[in-house]
Formats: sequence, C-alpha cells, structure tokens
Amino acid sequence: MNRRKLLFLSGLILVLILLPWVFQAAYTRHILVMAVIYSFSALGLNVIFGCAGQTAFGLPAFFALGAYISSLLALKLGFPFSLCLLGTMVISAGFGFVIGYPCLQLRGIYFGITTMAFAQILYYVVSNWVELTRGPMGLVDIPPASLGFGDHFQFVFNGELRYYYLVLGACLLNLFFLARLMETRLGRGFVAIRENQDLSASIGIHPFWVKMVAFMLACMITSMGGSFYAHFVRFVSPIEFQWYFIGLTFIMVITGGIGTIWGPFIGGAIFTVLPEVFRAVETYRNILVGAVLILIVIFFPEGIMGKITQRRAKRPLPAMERKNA
Amino acid sequence: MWDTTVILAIQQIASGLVMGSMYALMSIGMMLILGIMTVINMAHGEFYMLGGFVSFFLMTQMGLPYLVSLPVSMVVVGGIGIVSERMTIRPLVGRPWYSTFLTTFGLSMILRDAAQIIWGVDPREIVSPFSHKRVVWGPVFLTQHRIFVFVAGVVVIGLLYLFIKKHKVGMAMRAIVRDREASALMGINLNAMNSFTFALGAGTAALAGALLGAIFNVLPSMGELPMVKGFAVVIMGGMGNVQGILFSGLILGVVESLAASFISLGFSDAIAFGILIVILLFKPAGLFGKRI
Amino acid sequence: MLETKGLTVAFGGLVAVNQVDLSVSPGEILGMIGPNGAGKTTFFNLLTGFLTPTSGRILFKGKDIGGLPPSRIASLGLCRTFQITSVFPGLTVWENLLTGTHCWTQTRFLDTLLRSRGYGEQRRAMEMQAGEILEFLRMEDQKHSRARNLSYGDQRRLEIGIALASRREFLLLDEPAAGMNPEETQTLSQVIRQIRDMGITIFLIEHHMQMVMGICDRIVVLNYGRKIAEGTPLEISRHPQVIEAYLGKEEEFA
Repeated sequence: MNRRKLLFLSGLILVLILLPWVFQAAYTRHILVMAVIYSFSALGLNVIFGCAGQTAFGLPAFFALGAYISSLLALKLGFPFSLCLLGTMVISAGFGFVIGYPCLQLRGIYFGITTMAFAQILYYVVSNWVELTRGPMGLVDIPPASLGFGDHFQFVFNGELRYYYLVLGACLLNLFFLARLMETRLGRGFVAIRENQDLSASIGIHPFWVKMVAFMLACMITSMGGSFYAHFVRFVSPIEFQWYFIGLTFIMVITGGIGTIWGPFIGGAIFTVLPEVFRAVETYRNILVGAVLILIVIFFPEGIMGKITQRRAKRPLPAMERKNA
Repeated sequence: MWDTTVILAIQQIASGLVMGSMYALMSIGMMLILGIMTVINMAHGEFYMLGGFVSFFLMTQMGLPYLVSLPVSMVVVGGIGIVSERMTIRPLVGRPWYSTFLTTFGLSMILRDAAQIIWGVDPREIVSPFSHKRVVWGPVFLTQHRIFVFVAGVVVIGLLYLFIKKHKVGMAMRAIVRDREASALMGINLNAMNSFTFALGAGTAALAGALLGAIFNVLPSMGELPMVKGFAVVIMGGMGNVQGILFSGLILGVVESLAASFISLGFSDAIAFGILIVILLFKPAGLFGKRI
Repeated sequence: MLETKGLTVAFGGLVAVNQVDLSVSPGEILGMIGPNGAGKTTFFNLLTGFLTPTSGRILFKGKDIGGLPPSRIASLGLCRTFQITSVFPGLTVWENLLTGTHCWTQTRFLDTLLRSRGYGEQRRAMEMQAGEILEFLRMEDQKHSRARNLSYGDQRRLEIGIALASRREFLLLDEPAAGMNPEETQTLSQVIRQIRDMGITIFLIEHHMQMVMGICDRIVVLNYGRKIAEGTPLEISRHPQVIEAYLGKEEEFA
C-alpha cells in the first residue's frame, strides 16, 4: 500500500474514531452505532453480490436471523456475548450451507428469487414458532454485549459510546479481512465468477464451491451485524425481516459501490443517517430519501466509491456505454 | 348433502380464483416491463395502490360512478407511469439491471409517501355497485363484485394476449424482446415503446388495485405484498408466457386461499414461496417457461 | 496427448457426435473443420466437460476425463476458448490476464491475508507472466482498458492471452478467427504458431480455410457428427468426401 493511500486511510479511521466526540448527544451517537451495525448487512451482501456477482435477494434476512440466534443463545442458553457472537456466526454459516446448496443449483435471478423464498419462509417460521421466539411479540431483555473472564472481570458495553467503538472495531476488522480476502485466490475467484462464470470454470475455478464459500461468508458477516444489533437494541421482532430491509441493503451496497471495500460501509452510513437527517420533515421524509437515492444512482454509476477512485486515479473510467435507445 | 369441508373448500377456491386473476393481471404488467425494458419495477405495487386511491378520489371527490372510475384511474396512473419512466428509467439506459431496481425502489418510496400525505394512513373504502349483491351458486356464496373482478381480470388479460399477438404494437414488443438492437434498426422507436410498456404495466396494476380496492380497503402500504407475489407468479409462469402467468396466478390464488382457511393466514403467505422453491428446483424455467 | 475413442453423444434421437476416434500428439496443431452443424463445437463441449458423452472415451494424458466438470478438466491442463468471445468484461486487460494466472498460483490463504513474503513472490511471478503475455500480444497500450470496451479482434486476442496465462499445456480454440478481417487473421495465425513454439499443443475449430490450411499440421474433418477424413492439409484438400461435404458452401480451399 503506497504512502498516500496509507495516509488517507489513517485519516479516515481517525475521523471515524473521533466522530462520537463531535456528536456527543446520545441520540446522534445512537445513530452512529446503528449506521455501523446496519453496514454489516451491506458488507455481507457485498461479498456475494458485489464481489461474486450473485444476486442473493434473501441474504439480508440473515441479519434478523443472526439477531434471533444471538438472542436465543443468550436468553435460553445463557451464553456470554463472545460465545453468542461466535455461535451466531457458526450457526449462520450452517444455515448458509443448507440454504445455499439448493439455491446455487440455479443461476442468475432464479437463484436470487429462491434465496428470497427461503428468507420468506424463515420469516414465517420465526413469526409463528411462538414457543421459541415469542412470535410477533419478539424477544426482550436481551443482555447487553460484554467481554471478560468469569464473573469479576466483565467489561459491559452499555451506552452508545462503548458500543460504537465495539462495532466500529469489529467492522474495521472485517473490512481489513475482506480487503485481504479479495487478493487471495478465493477472492479473485469471486470476481472471475461474477465477470464470466463459464470462462472461470475453463481456467480451473470451481463455480459451485466458490459461490458457496462466498454465500456462507456473506451469511456469517450479515448475521454478525444482527448479533450486534440484538445486544444493542436489546429487542428483536419479526419486523426486521421485512422486504424494506432487503431493498435497503441492496441500496447500501450499490450506491456505496459494488465490489469495493469501503463502498458498503459508506452506503450503510448514508442510508442510515439520511432518513434521520430528514426526520425534521417527517411527512416528506421518504420522498426525500427516495429522491436522493434516484439522484445517486443516476449520477454515480459506479457508486460513491467508484466516483472517489475515479478521481483519485485521475484516469477516466471508460464511459458507460450509452446504447442508442 | 354437501360436506361442510367441501363447501368451504369450494368457497375458498372460488375466492382464490378471484385473487389469482388479479395476481395474474399484476404479473403480466411486471413481466412485460421486465422483458421489454429489462427493468425490475419495484414500484409496481405502488401503481396498484394508486389505482385504488385514484379510483377512490374520482368517486368521492368527483362523483364518478365506480365503473367509470376504473378506466379513468388506469389512464391517470398510466400517465404517472410515463412521467416516472422518464425520470427514473430513461436516464439509465445502458446501465446494469440493478440501477433501475434501485431507482424504481426510490420511486416506490416517493409514491407511497405522496399517497400518505394526500390521503393519510387510514384505510379508505371503495364502494362498488356490485358490492352488496350476492350470488348463490350451489353451495357457494359470492358477491357479484368478486365475479365482476374475476371476469374483468380474465377479459383484460385476454385482450392483452391478443394485443401482443396480433396488434402491430404488440408485435413490436415481441420483436424488442427477441432482439433489441435489430428492432431499433427496423425503425421501432425504443423510447416510445418503453414509455408505452411502462404505462401499460402501471395501468393494469392500477386496474387490479381499483378492483380489489372494493373488496379490501385501500391504504398506502397495500402494494407491497402483491408486488412480491407478482414476481413469484412471473417466475412461476415463465417469461413471455401470458397463459402461463394466468394459470400460475390462478393456482397461487387458489392454493393461498385454501391454505389460509385450512391452515393459517400466515402460512398462506409463506406458501407462495414454498411452491416457488419447489417449482424452481424441478423446472428452472418456471412451470410453463417458454419463449414468446 | 489427447485421444478420443468412439466418442459419441446423442440428444434424444439426434446423434450430434458419432463414434469419433482421433488423437492429438503433443506439440502439434490439429485443426477440425466441417460444415456448419457438423458437431464441432459439440465435440469441444465434450472434451471440456460442458457435455457428458453418451458413450466412448476421452483420454487426456492417459486419464479418462469424460464427464468430469469443466473446472476439473481445466486443472488437469486443458483450456478452451469459446465461440462467442469470452473474457472478463468488467475487468481491465491487465486484470484479465492476472486472473488467468490464478490457476497455477499456489498462494496459501494465510500468506495473502498477512501479506507475508510468500505472497509477494507469487504476486511478482503472476505479474511477470501477465506482463510477458501483454507484450506477446502487443497490447501494452490497452493495459488499463476494460475488456468490454475493446474491439472485437482485441477481445479475441485477450481471450487467447487469458488461455496462455493459465499455462495450460493444451489449448482448444473454438473459431478464433471468427469475424476477423484478413489482416487480423494473419496476426492470429502468427500468434498461434508462436504459441505452439512455446510447447503448447493446439486443437482448433475453424471455418476459415486459408488459415486452417496454413497453420495446421494435421486436419480432421467432421460431417454430421462423423469423422470423414483425417490427414495433412494437402491430403484433405484433395479428399473427395471432404470436397463433397463442402460442395455448395461458401468456403473456398486455399
């Protein structure tokens, strides 16, 4: 990594670290935390959709799934937070495998719709298995996140400030991991499959298993976000599974910049913060958010990160072909 | 004598057919937009919703009779569709599919909010002239309105089918799906066709909304679920296959209806997707998948 | 190196490839010609795992590869190009070539994660290979162009470049000269010869007679799924059955 990039990155991270000191109100800090938490969903989707090119419509449902799994591990089995988090990741990976196996037999939009179908079924199960999930009433009193050994050495992440640094740290770790991942054979495999699956097969990349790994990884990351959500908000209900959340996650990934590292994070931040910024004009809020969305899509073809990389490289990206309609 | 379960089943099948015809009507619009414009129209549910509201508005504020409000509503919403297309789809020619996926999503947010601002959140009622008259047919009770809905649905779908097959514009649509560039070279005005297709989709969705609005109430969020089911029906029925979509829609309506009464309401929503998964795993091109 | 024995594939009642026996020796350029619909691309699809044979065997370096998935066959050393140009459209030329090299790189996951020395070495090796091919194809000035924006001829060259980058010993080229003008075809012929000189065995399908006659060591002719002739270009150009098969077609013999 060259000097300039390193400097820029350090600067960015510094800004992120200092943010809660600029915005000290609990309410604003709450938004900051939620922005980071929701961007996990975008991060996960980016792996399977942005990098590997598979439109997994149902993936964002793993956010809620992760929230539920983590809550249940804490409430029913009394796991400490770290185990809840770990357990969530492992169990989601398992779900990812089980769901991914049939879905990946299909390609393109059929794959996407089938994942969505599974997501809808999950929603139904969660809403109706009242003995386990209390149905629409949701799970309450989820213990806050804490790390520590035994009973004496617990550091509890109560309060927005502590939680912010917890999730920010986790998120940055993920970003680092993903950045390196995309340089491995596996990561390159994702991109190759996105660009041309048959050609990839012809040069030795095994499409099914590479896609499966991407999917499972996406599930893990997304559910991680869900876990953080559960232990912050401390209440989960089936509402999190709604369609809107799926669309929102796609918005975050695409406007941020598909396949980029920081893209989903930026998209996640924007589309969590924006609705809050517009809260002042409550009635027109969605109209404004919708309009901003449309404008971003029109004027930032490669997402916001795409525009930034374009300017930094000072080398014009070839104009998107404008076919003569 | 008829066994009560059987009576219930027949009753549910009948109302399922009604719902199914509307699913099919919605889906055909979506399918056309998807096939001809390569756009996943996330705002389709909102056109459905607007159809209901515009009809309501025309009846209550302008005193139009229900039957007149139907075509007028279609035209109005069709017009909204044309404007929307200009602003959210036209600028994105040549971009990947997810661009319009997002902008139509934004459009849906805007339309839904606008409806909420104009008409508020509370459900509104549309009174159809057929609403309260019942028809008894053997063991089955049906309101005249439901029969009207079903008939209207099938008739419109039939008209669409003939239009696509026989009319010059319909054939142009098929040509575009086959080969977009060649169509342009042959003198087909792609921009005009796009606007027309989108307006057609919006209009038919509006009709479905106005028809069903007299059965269920009209509210700003009513479009969400029908749109999702509409996509399921498109996949099940197969792209380009009007008959396939009609049948898939009807099947979905019936199965849902039966599931709702014999199992549970929540389950009936999930069942659409269960069916979808099963179908896709065994017949990846959809139940009736074939080319136009 | 590659051998097929009685290779057959049938779809329902239609026998697309019918009892074809042939063999390709290491380091030679074998051409396959035949009228449209003779089954050539189907034959390639069988060799590369995109189709499973109904009967017969395919032996690559002595190993039976019939019915194996494409990625497995590729990892054994066979690589193909496609009739419709197949590149990685969104990636730049450079990235396309780098991706091609990925099959033989052995970088361990952990190495890349931690950017250890092993990673650096592998990376350099990949970049060197990609650089060499870039030079070889004479596409240096297009290094950062997106593949989808290249001209058709350039895309085809890139396609071959990707195949080269994967360091396969055996290359299957499906109509590499399709849609090329005479000048481009000339360049292509040269490139193919140079590839053979690197020690790679080449098996190609072509309609472009001049090219086929010019560069192939041997030619196999397919018609209606059956092999009707095999031999040197000279022998083939005189073969009565071949001439008959092509009678009335537009291709001319050099």
